[in-house]
Parts: sequence; C-alpha cells; structure tokens
Amino acid sequence: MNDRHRDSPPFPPDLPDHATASAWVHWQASRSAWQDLLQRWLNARTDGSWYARQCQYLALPTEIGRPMDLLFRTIGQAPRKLGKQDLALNDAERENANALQAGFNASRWSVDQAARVGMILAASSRLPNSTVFAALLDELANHGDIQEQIALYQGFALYPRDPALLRRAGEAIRSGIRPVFAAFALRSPWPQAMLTQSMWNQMIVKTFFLDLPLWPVQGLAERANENLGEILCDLIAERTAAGRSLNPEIWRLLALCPGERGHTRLRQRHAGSPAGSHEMHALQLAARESPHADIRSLAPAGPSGIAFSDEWAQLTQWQE
Amino acid sequence: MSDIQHAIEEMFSERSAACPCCGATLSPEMLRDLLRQAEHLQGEHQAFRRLTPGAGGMLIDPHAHMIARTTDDYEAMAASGVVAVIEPAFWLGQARTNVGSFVDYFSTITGFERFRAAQFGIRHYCAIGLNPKEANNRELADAVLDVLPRYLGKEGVVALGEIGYDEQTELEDRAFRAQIELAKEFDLPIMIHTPHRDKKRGTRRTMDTLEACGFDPARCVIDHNNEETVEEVLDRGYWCAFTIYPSTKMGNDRLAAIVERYGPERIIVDSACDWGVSDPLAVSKSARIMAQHGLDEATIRQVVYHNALKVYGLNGEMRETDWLDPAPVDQRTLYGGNSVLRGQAPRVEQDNPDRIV
Repeated sequence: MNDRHRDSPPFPPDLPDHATASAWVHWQASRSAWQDLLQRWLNARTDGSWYARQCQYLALPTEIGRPMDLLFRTIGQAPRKLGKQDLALNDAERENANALQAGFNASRWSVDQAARVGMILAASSRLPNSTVFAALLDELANHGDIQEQIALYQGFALYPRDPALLRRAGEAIRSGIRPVFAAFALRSPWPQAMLTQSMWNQMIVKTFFLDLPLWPVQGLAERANENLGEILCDLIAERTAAGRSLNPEIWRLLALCPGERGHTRLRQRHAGSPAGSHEMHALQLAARESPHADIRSLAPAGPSGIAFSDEWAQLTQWQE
Repeated sequence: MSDIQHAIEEMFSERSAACPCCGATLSPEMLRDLLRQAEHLQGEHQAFRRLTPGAGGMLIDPHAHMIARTTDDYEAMAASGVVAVIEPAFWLGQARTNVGSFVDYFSTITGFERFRAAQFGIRHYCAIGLNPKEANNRELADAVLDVLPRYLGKEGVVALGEIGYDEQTELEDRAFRAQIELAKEFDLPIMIHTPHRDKKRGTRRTMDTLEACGFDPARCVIDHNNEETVEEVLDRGYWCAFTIYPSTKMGNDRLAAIVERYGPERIIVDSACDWGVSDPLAVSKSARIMAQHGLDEATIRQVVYHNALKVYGLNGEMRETDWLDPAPVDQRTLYGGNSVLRGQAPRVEQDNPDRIV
C-alpha cells in the first residue's frame, strides 16, 4: 500500500465507487468499437461468420444451459474453426487500432488470438461491472490451456482499467510460463497504467530472469522509480559475482531511474567500456534517453532520428 | 574372431585383470562376457542407426505421464527421437478428494506441462477423462464429469482417456458409459485403460460396452495389451497398444515377437512412463529391438510413429506439420522458432537456469 504512494500520480488511481461504475459504462462504449475492429480484421482474413455467430450467442443475456460452458467451448474451438495464421496487420489497420486505444499493438497476434479476445469482450457485454468481469477472467484463466491463457493476457490491452483486475494481472506476472508472462507484459498499455509500483518492479525484474527483451514493455520512462534502480543494482552485482551476462537494456533502466547508486554504477561502467564496443553502444543509447542531466552528458551529442525502441531492438539479441 | 577380440586375447590370454572402476578381479571368462555384451550393444546400435535416415528417426510416445518425469527424461526422450508425447489423464497414485484437484490437474496437462515439453522441442498433447479408479467415488465422479466438457474441446486434446475398467464395478461402468457419450459429442477418439487384474475378461467387457454404446472401434485405442488380448482386440477392429514395462507385464522382446506374428497394422507401442518404475525411452528401445529381430524399417516406423499419428490425429489436433512446420504463432510463443525440419537443436537455454522461476 505504502510504496505505491511514492509514485506520482498513484497507481492505480484511487477511484470512488461511483467513478468505477461510470468507468465501466464508458468502457462498454469503447468495447463495441473494439469488437467491430476485431470482426473486420477477422472478416478480411478468414470466414468471420462462425465467429460473428458465436459472439452473438455469447452476448445473449440468458442462454440455454450453462453460459460459461458455451464460452469455454467457443474459445477452445477458435483455432480449429478459424486457423492460427498471423493477423499480419497492414499499416492502416495498425494505426486504426492505436487510434482507438493508445498503445494497443496487435502486430504479433494471430487470427485465433484475436478471436479469443473478441469472444471475451462479447461475453462481457452482459456483465454488470468490472468485479464480475474479473471473476470471468479468473474462471477462464483457471480452466485455460496455455494458448488460451496467452490470448487472455494479450487482451488486457483492451480490458477496463480497473483495480478489480489487478489480482488476475498479478497471476500473469507470477507465471513461470514465459509466453504467458510475455503476453501480459509486452506491447500492452495496461501494465504501465495500472500496476502498483511493487508489481511493476517485479514485472520488470522478471523480464531479465526470463530472458525477454525489455524494449516492448510500454512506459519504462514513465514508471521508472528509485526502488527499481536499487533492485537492478543488486541484480547486476549478483550476476557479476556469478560471472553471468545480463541483457544490456538494464543500463537503460538505470539511466531512467533516479538514484545515485545506479548512476554511479552506470558512470563506472561507461568509464571502463572500450569505445565502439557493443556495451558502449548500449550505455550511450541509455544515457541519451536519461532525464538526468549528468547521465545524459555521457552520450555523444546529436539526435539519432530513430525511435529508441528500434535501436534497442537492433542492439539486443534477446528473442521473445 | 573380431579385431577387438584378438587384441584382448593377446593382452590378457588366460590372465586376469583388475577392473578399472572398482579394482575387483576380472577373470578371463568375465572379460569375454563383457566383450560379448559390448558387441551385442554395438550390433543394436547399428541396427537402430539403419532406421534413422529418411524420416529423421522420429518417434511418438502416445502414452506418457510427463508431469511425473524430470527434465533429464525430456532431454533423453528428445535425443532418442521423440517429437511428440500424449499425456492421458489418470490417477496420481494418491486419490483426489475434490473436483478442484482434477481441475488443476487438467489445467496442468493442457498448460504448464505443454510449456515444459516445448522447452525440449517436444510437442505435448493430452487425453482428458475420468480414470476408472476414481470413478468409484460417486460424488467426486459426478463433479468431474460436469467439468470435463470445459476441457474436451481444447487445443491439443487428442482423445478422451484413459478410461475403461479397473475393478469392473458398477460405478466404473457408469462413468465409462457417460464418457463414451461425451467422446461422441466432442468427436474425440477414445484411449482405453484395460484392467491389470482380470485383464482378459475385462478387455472383452470393455469392447462389449463400447460396441453397445455404438462407438466405432476404428476411433479407439485399447492400451496395455498382452499376448492374451491382442488377437481379439485386432479382430474386433480396434487399435492395439502395448505398454512396455521394464520388469513385468510386457517387454520389448515380447513386443517384437507380437509384431512379427501379427504385422504392424493398428499396433502401437508406448512407455506409459509415470511415477512408478517405468522407462521413458521404451519406444526407442522397442524400435531398436524390433530392428534386431530383423523387422523392416517400414514396419517399425508404423508401430513407433505412424499408427499413433493416424488414430490420435483423427480429430485434427495432432498433425505432423506441428513439429515439421509449426504455425508462426506456435513457434513464437512456445518453440522459439525451432522445428524438426530446420534441424535446429531445440533445447532449454543452457546459459540461463532461471527460465523457470
């Protein structure tokens, strides 16, 4: 509880009950726009009529039999009915998605994953609030196979930004199944908007343990904090003592986080790295992005003209 | 006499030698015996190697309880040529007391275990069902039958199983019949566990029940067969699986003799490796021993690969392309871009022991 108040503004935002209720109503309005978007994507790539029919059934207020069983069945069948090919969105579709929801990035989604997220959205249309929606996600995740869990966590990009979903988010961060963790943590605007500081820090540190790249995580600069810098300094020391290597993106985080210990460490490393080395490139790239003037001064002058994430993607060999 | 035998004769003649590992005295007879064993092993190796070109020596273990096995087993299985395993739901040695234990078990074999196998480049499929032992707990059985539909339609579920009889009680019969209906509803093949006690009559009763319920034998594998059951199972049109147990019940040599006698049609070999004494390499060893028996390559391949692929591929959830040319999304999420065709070594990152945290 305490650590999250060290953030400014607090994460997640503390909302009164009536505000949460109106947020759900507001989300329901966006939900139909996202559902239309997903339906259009699927129509362009596969026979979308089966999917459309399932979504209609799922949205009915009272179905025959047990409603959850219908959801389990349709979600289970999605890859068989629609295929697993990549969505492979074109530029216009990507821009369209980002316009509807900033940070929404389905560039690595497949057809069945889009359908599964769409089905969850369809089933949520008859739900009264975020708490019930969170319970639906719990039920799906607890009975989900590995690919269903991956789709469920990718969908967070479009889920309500409501603290009721934090418990489920915590399960993704705790998961030892690398692709499940990645589905939640990478290319999604939800974690940066909603996670408490301690959850955020756990998620970031775990990307190093899972050998995942860091640059697809959204909000690294915005959520940088001193505590994270401390944890990462310890991680560097631990790996150095063990003679093991680390993803160089860790320097980027130390440059972003406040904290003298991390900055000293970074300056020492900068002084000891040979010019032109892979590590020097990483250190300079990290310094260029730092909000701290003394660290920024380590970088050679002049704009690069390339987005940071592109440069880090080129620099790091870590594969998802 | 081989070159090595000549060399040994020259070196030792009738003298004894000290064992290099324990220092014990090795008599000339013991040395000759060791030599015989070594040559025998080498012969097996050569016979097995003749199998590998062409299709790459791919094997399927269509009955393996991998949640009970170590990562060493996965490594060894991958090295032996196993490209896919099927994990049928069964009991855990310890009886479960509530349906939640079943839910977590089903989720594990469709979730975490699939991920674990993927790290070794092995494709993991499963069969979902209520085993006959625990069918005897009526209340629990009803609750489990209620949740089964949530799992039967999932990706990678290739059969309903393993089901059938254990003690052949009324409650077992009830759960068995209910699940035959579910298999029809979900268009799934069935994997049958035949009872170890009263096997012959139990196996016959299993087939009688399946037929009374109108289930197609061509969509059903009867497992744990022996010399006494094979003929009737094949005659009635079922797939006939043999579980290789290290010490009892069914051994590799006996399997080879059965294949010699009945041919490879509808015969499948598996390890059923679990938490008991069992051998996760039983399929590759069986292939080797069949080769030693002089069975031809096509016959062996049919028994250790193609038959399993055919029957467990019936509902479309297990295809050869899964390991030869996987969908991009599967490669991205589970297999790190590895496919058998590309000859990439699928292996856990050697330099990062933290991958499972």
